[in-house]
Amino acid sequence: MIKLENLHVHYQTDQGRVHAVRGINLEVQPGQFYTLLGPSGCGKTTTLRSVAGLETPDEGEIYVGDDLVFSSSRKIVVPPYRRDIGMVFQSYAIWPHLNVFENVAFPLREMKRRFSQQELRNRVAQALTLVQLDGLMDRPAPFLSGGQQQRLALARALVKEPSVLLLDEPLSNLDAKLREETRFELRELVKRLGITTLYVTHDQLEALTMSDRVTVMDQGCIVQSGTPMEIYQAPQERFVANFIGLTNFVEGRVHRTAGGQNQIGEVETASGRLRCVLPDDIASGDSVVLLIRPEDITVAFDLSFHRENVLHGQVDALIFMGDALECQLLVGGQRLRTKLHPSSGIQRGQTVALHLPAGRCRVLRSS
Amino acid sequence: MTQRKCLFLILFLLWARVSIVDDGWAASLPKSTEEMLKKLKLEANILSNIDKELEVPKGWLEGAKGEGKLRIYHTMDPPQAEVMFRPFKERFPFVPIEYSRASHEDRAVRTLVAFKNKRIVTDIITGLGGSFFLYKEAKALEDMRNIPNFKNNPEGTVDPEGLWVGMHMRYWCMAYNTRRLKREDMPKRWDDLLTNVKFRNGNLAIGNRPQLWALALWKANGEPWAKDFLAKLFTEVKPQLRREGMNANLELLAAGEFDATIPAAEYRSYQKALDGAPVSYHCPEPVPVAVSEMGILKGAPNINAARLFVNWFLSTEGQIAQYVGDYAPPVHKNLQRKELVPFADQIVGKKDAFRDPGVELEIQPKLLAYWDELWLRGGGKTRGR
Amino acid sequence: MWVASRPLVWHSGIFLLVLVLVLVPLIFLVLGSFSTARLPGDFSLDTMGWINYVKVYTDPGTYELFTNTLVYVGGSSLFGISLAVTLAWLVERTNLPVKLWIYAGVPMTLAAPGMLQAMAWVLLLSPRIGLINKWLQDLFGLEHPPINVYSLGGMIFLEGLRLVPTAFLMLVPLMRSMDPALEEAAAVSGARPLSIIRKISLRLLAPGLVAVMIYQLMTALEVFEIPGVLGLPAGIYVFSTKIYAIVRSATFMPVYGQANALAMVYLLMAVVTTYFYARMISRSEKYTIITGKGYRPRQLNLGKWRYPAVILVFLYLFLAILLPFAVFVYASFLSYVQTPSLEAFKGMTLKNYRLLAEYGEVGAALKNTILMVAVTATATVFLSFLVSLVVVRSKFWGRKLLDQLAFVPHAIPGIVMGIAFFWVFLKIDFLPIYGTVWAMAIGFTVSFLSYGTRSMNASLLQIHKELEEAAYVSGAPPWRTLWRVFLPLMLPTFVGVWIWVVLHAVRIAGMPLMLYEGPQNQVLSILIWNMWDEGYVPAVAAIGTLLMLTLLLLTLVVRYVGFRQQFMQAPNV
Repeated sequence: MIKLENLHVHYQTDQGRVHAVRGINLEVQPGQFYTLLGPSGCGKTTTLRSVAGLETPDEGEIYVGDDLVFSSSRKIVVPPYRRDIGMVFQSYAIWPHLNVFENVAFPLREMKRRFSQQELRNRVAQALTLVQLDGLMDRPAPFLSGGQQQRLALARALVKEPSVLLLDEPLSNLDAKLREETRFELRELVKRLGITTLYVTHDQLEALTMSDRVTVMDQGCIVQSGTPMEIYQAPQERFVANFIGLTNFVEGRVHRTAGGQNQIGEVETASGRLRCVLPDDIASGDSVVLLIRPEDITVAFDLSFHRENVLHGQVDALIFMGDALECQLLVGGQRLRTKLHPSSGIQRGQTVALHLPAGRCRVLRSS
Repeated sequence: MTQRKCLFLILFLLWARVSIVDDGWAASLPKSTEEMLKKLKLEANILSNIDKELEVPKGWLEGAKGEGKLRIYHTMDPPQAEVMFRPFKERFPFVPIEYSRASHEDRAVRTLVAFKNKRIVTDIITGLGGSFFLYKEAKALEDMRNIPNFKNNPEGTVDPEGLWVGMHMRYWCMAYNTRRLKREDMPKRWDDLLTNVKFRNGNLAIGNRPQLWALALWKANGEPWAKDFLAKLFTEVKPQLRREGMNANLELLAAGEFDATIPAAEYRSYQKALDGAPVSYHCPEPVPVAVSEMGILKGAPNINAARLFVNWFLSTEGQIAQYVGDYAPPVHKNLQRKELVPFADQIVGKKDAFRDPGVELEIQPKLLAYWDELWLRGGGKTRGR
Repeated sequence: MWVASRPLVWHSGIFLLVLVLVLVPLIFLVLGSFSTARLPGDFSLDTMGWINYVKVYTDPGTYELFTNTLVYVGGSSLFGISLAVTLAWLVERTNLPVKLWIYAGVPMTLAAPGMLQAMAWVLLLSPRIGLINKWLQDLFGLEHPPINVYSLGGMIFLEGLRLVPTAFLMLVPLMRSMDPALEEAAAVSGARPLSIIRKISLRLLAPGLVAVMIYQLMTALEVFEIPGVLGLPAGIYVFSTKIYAIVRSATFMPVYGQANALAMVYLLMAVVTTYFYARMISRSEKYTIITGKGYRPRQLNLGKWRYPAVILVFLYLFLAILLPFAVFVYASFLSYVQTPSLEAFKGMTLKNYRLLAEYGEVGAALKNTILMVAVTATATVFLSFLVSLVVVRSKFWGRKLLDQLAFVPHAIPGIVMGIAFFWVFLKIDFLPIYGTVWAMAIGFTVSFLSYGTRSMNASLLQIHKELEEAAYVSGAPPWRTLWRVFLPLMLPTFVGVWIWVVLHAVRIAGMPLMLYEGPQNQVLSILIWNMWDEGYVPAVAAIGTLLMLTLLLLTLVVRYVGFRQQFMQAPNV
């Protein structure tokens, strides 16, 4: 497992000193697939590299497995080559002067234990099989394709069976199709081996599909942490909502606070009064923003059978996305995005009705 | 009466015997020496006195045996030096020699600098030139008056305090390209150089070492003459002003870069001629002549070997060996003869202008200042100050 | 480099070492310029004075020097760099057919000792005896010889030719690392090839180009063999020859103090140029996209321009290598120098070569040279690498300063360095360096550090940081990472620098002349210089021929191997 306590990291750039990580606390359970998600510059990579030992934090504690590898108070700094980790870099960092076998065997050669030639071959072959690169042992590394290099990097990281696997945006250089396949394979492999995994990415789709737990970061701080579903369906900050998936934001004011068990209240917006889920600590009259995902909005010509949360608007844009039709509607001066099945016969310019199910409308306080 | 006749007979026989024994002694000369004599077609009894000459205090021989390699800095080419050393090596096989060519005065300077820092990098040094005074000041030279053959050198060719000895005579005259100029064209006196048109239009080259020849002329013919001559030389004759070394100039002369060059050394010109180059030598009167100096560093570790060497070098054998090595005319007072001077007909019998060290001190600065002016105006740019 | 307390110690160690090696001669330079004592070693406070400066800088001749030097240095740098850029560009960015010839041939120019080349050109273009002049005169019936090599023009031409190889070696990696996308963007915007070159490629290259030019400008400033042989007879003085003349003064005493005072100009220039050089380099780095994925810059199709390009290449090789080489081979068989004629050919002899074989001096010089050169090359590679590691990969506080320190010796003429080291080694006589080949090796290493670090810096920058980090997280401590990752990837650079140093150390005479003490440290360049000075031109030609043959062979082998390897490997990562 991995544990970070009050981690602070600064570094020097041409523009001065940057406080990249500001007091992070997190814990990765053994065997968990944990993702750090956020835009560039949010500090996720710096955090990962601190766990690896490639960056030296200024303050805090880091545990890898059971070992305390960094402690500012106790002045402990364990160098990367003594941590029980495996890491995959964004550029793969395959050594061009070594062939596939030597690249994978490298960590084994650095271990205190001495392996015989046969043992080496066996272990390397095993690692290559895991990543489906069998039979390429003698090939010079630069002659591999991008995807193959990525798998090679993974094999190298796994060959010494570390307790922790660190991955720094390993899929960003692959093409879309390959990325999709690899996402799936990677998670399967890691789960099968039961290795604690810390994954860094800016791609929210990767985060959602692969992780057991997602932590969204922004400007060096943790914004929200939770399961993919929690993060997606119950964002607690506007930032998270905006970053993950598509969201429609509708400004409004609380008209009536939640009553009853289902915590549904009413919010007055420019398009009318809408019923939605309110958080506990909200009061009547507060400025809020209402979030609703495009796929939750129903669009039709007649939705009068719904008693509440029905709006009317004009179709302004239709964008064919292959598996869906994005329909942008102008509703009360605001643009709302919705997702329709491609076979929907809606045309531009038409006036349509929208239904926003109350349970799917979430409200956050306006900050 | 008969008794007196007998006495005369005996004396006569003794004398005859001695002569015969002389020839017999000739037979005990080192092989290389015999070859030398044959090569130069010299009579064997030129070396009749050699054994006496080479008598040295026993301590020197014993001392030399225990010393290391004798280090000599000289300006000769190594192969030529090898030739020169052969008789010495035959006579004194227990003295190994380490020879380095030391051309250029800055080498002398560096040796002195090293000496002042308590490092004696050589035992024998030659070519001291102007740096002699610094050596004297630093008390860096041995007094060599205790070397027997010191007295072989004529006056003016040794330091009165014994700090340096002359090694050979050196003449600095003109060399010319035989394809372009004839003997008849060459100037009888230095003044004639100014009037002969054959030396104009850059056909004549001048090297940048006035102290080798003009200094002696200044002394011999006086200051007004010298200034006038040099001025006219630069402004009327307008020679090519070359910065190459004197020997390099000879090479260029042979190649045809110019028709004549001043100053040229006799030994080098001779070597070139022997090589087949179309080069010959000519000396207008008076003939500038100087000696090259040799000294022993004070406190040299191989002092006995050094003394042995210098003693041998100043003997008739040594001086002849030097001539065979690189055609340098001996300084030995008994060896002043035509066979041992290259281009003898050019030199022997003419009036000479000798450059002694006193001259250097008083006249040289004036000469150099005057020369620099001329050189600069003549387009040669400053000589190096 | 992974920064923690322990690595810092060796960083400081390297810094200190370089500081000492570079500053000591510089301090001597400065102090000595104030010394009015006759001898360089006789330094004491009461012989200090400004008189050297007064003498040197109030002499109107000195200012003429400035103009001459400016024209000469500017002209030769411009000529040399233009040629080098063209050749480098032809090799890296076009589909020229004869690339191996350029790649192997250009560095070979370094094999010829400077004065031998100059001498060869004298034999070809001297107004009186020049072969080409004679031939042209015969051909066109001219009265006067058309070309005079003893001129600024001659000096510029020859020095320009000699500046090409090093500039070429520095420009090739620059060309190689340009991002093709930038040019392709211009192409699809409608720009024609020449326009692309002018507006995009050259502009991107500009900072790097300027840096190389500054570097070679400094080279041209300090060499003295070409201006010495060609300029002195014509009375054309430049800075380097003036300093040389002061030291080798024909008067009774070389005035070392004045030489140093004049050399202070170099020091000033060193500071100024180092500053500009550093700025150019950092700008250049911004423009150079380090293609982590190894895109090969696109190759321009020369089409019909192929033929003129090939002719240009061979013309260069002919003028820079073949012609001078032919001249020395010819001269080496003569008894004395003469222009080619039936008589000359009849008089040819093997005498010079035989003499070399018999000359004990040559054998000893050869041994010394091999030892000295091998030690220097290895030490330079080793030290440059360590310095580069600190400069490029560490966070050591003094790394920029270290980089500049390593660069400064390039500006100081070899003779001046030589005098400085001579004095230093004398003073520290508890170390047995004085008068040995080690003295020369140390002196040279300091001088060559600038080239070594330039090369290593550029090369290290190309190695992606993550290759290093991947080794760490795979369990390799820093020294193992060095051994298993850096060294193999840097090997081509090591070899390149090693060869370059060998080629230079073998033929440079300036500094060794000052440190030469006797047969135990006489090296070939000194032998050649002495013999040339004594006028034994044919013998020098013989040594020169053999030397050139050996070096040519060495260069050819190394370049051929390197060239093949480079094209076999996939694009660099």
